Amino acid sequence: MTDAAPSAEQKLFFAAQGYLVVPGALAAAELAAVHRAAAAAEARWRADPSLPGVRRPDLEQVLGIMEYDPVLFDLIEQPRIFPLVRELLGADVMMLDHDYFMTPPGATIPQGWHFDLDLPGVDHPRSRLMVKVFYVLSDIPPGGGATLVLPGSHRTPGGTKLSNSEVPEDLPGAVPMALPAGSAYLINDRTYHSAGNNRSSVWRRLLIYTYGHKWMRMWDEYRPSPELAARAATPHRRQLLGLTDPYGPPVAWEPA
Amino acid sequence: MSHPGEPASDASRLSAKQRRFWDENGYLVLPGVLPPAELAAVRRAAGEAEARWRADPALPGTRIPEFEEISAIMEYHPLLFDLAEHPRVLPLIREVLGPGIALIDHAFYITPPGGVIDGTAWHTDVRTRVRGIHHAGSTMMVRAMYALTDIAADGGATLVLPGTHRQPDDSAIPAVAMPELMPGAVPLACAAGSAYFFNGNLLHSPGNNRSSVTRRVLLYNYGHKWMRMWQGHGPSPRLAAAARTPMRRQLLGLTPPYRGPDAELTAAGQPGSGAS
Repeated sequence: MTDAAPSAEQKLFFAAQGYLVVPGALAAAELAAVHRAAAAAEARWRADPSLPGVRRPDLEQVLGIMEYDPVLFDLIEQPRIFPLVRELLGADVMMLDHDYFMTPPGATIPQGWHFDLDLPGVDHPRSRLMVKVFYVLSDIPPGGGATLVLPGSHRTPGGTKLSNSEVPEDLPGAVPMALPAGSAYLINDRTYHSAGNNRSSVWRRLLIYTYGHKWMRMWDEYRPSPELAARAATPHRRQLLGLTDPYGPPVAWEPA
Repeated sequence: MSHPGEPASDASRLSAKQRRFWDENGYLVLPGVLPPAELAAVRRAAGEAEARWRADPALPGTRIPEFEEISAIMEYHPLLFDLAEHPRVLPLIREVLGPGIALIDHAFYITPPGGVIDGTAWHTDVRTRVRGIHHAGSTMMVRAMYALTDIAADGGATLVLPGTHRQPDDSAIPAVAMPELMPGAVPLACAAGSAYFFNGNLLHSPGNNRSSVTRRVLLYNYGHKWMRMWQGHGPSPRLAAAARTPMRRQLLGLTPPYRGPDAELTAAGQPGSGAS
């Protein structure tokens, strides 16, 4: 795949289905570099329990993954994915959160289906607040805890309660993101989704980058450290980190 | 067009008539929300803020002949912070925005007589600044204005174009030479002590002040707690420390943005209660 603007088919699929799969988003060499960076981050995070995140038997989450390595910061403008995100959200795109998710074998996610956002005052079916990008770092086999999405559910009006299921995979219409390493997939803020149960023998490893608009608040715990802010060398990186005028004109983006 | 000026039987909730008017027109006028003693106190506080601002050109705002704006007015006086939670206004705005209400910006507008404003001043607050939203079906911002002086129709009154808050986002704004020439424009003339508020997607414009009186209004622009505050309006440490109730902290953007309980209305926010 070459660096290119998103195709009309990709945009139409995302608009209609509320998700999109991009096979081979990370080429072999890039995947290897990201793997190394994520592993170093994981080792540091495990060695220091004061570092933020989630430490549960069914899920481990390294919070604020871009803080750990420049390679993981650069992924914010990944050349095969970011143009698509910017096209879907607009030039005022900004980061809302960024994590490394690790799901061990045996993890179960009862009643896991949810919308990321359900905000009073917003006409959700006709608005687009967030695009969440998942980078697959290790092959996710069927039954391996793949994210499940319900296509078309992003058109559901705010306040609607959809059915859940004890076993996430049992929800009718669920589509699993069982994908090879190096793939990426994107979902809308209103796409009904769940993590799956990991019945495989391998860990599920995902990097998650959630983009919104620069007039939206970033979660407090994801506000960039002074060190990360100092590494934002371009106006566009500063916008992505929430360091520009929230309601002023967006800055231009120059692909690297 | 008339305004549903009569107070609701319960002043902390919209009457059915007010709700219908709001839905159809995108604005409401509330006469007499500041009784004389409260108006006098707010005027004194605003007057002190104005004097301090004029004495220190480093303080933020706009200083042009036809318009002066003292940005972040709540920073200047506890009474002006209390006004953000006025018991006759905040509950109504919370009703139309939702329980996750928060402040986006706040200011003191001073419009002297004689300035000239052309027709390009018509705008909405959200259409170009809050992208990604289908504004015709959403309510992202509600701007409240408190009149500290009587404002005649030709005294720089805010002009609104009723019903435009439900127009598609790409609707063209008609070109007019002067704001007052916009067909259907309604000047929000009102007596001192009145308040009015309008949907951030409503087309509006400042009017020309052809009277002999300087127009003075306080502005409190509300949005949702998951929206960022206007640049330069984030609370100072001193103001943040003065926010001692959940509602005050939420209004200042000091609570979690996307989850967590929304603050309830309390009597503690009444002006003069010492909440700030």
